[in-house]
Amino acid sequence: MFREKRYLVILLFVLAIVAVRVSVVEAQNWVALPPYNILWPLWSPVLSPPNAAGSPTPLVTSVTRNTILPVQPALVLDPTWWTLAGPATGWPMGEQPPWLLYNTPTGLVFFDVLYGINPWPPAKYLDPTTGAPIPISLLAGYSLIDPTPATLPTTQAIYLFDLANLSYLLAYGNALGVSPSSLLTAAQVFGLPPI
Amino acid sequence: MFHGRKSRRLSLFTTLAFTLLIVSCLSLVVISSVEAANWQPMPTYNVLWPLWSPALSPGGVPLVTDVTKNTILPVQPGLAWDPAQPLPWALYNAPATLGGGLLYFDQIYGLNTWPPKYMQDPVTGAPVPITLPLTWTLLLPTSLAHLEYYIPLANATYALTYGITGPAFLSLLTPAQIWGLPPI
Repeated sequence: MFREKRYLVILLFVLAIVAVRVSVVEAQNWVALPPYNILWPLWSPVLSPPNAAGSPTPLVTSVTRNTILPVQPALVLDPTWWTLAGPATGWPMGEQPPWLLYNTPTGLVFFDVLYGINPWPPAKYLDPTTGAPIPISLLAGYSLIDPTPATLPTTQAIYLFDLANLSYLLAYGNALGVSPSSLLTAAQVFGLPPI
Repeated sequence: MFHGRKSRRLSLFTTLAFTLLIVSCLSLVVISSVEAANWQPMPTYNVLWPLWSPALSPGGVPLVTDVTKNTILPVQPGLAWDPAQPLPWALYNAPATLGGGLLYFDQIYGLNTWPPKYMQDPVTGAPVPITLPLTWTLLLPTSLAHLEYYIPLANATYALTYGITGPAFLSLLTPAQIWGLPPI
């Protein structure tokens, strides 16, 4: 009788662990997109709307120079700077702010807060000789990086979106006739309810 | 008697040697700090120009010789710092079609014509150079963390104000270029 009880406790314990693991898998926040393994946010309802089965699905299947974004800006993250210790300051998803992607007639461009607007991809993702893609080496656990979508975006996130959208409009958007109101705000990307 | 005089001479010599040693050390420190100065005061207002920025001081030499309202910046934004302020100001050229002149961006006061009012005599309009702290040669470069949102905001404000778009907007220096970071 006592032994049976012990088995039952062990069984319950194992079931609990399995349940936790399943919920962690379900809570995947990012997916790596080819050819550079750049992380796309599954947590953003506007960039990864749910499919028929209810699973968040990225709006694009790859992030190359020729990818055309159906909405912009898209947010992507190079997790190289992220550590398993988690974010220390600033961005909810890590030390390095994400990049914001935009369409131009000559291909995708990305906004980096330090480097401004440049053609996609960053030079470090390309073999200097052949120009072939050099995908990011992803660490285990990359898909669980916390976007903290349930809370308000940080001040940095808000500034990043405002500055990136403004810079894109000044560099390309105005000449292309892009309406400023068509660009996604931080609130839209983070899936916040209307103000 | 003879022994006493010798000992006094020895003690005098020791004191002199120590004094010389201390003076040499002090001058070495001063010289090295002057050599390692990160900023250079610029006429007319004595504001500091960043020697640490390869884009604004190539080879450690400032791109301009003064910072007046008529200075024309070969690249922009320039940076000018009154150490009494939390951050250096980003400097821009006003378009020549609008009369030219230097502008500065302050994160609280926005974009205004150079110089700030407190650097001018209110009656005569003559320059009132700022008084630099004695330790100005020891002031460190502005951290990248302080520039990373400030410069894009200053650039966008300047570009929006004067309708600077396309390649002209993209030619404005980024924080990475000001700091001399390697390409991304």
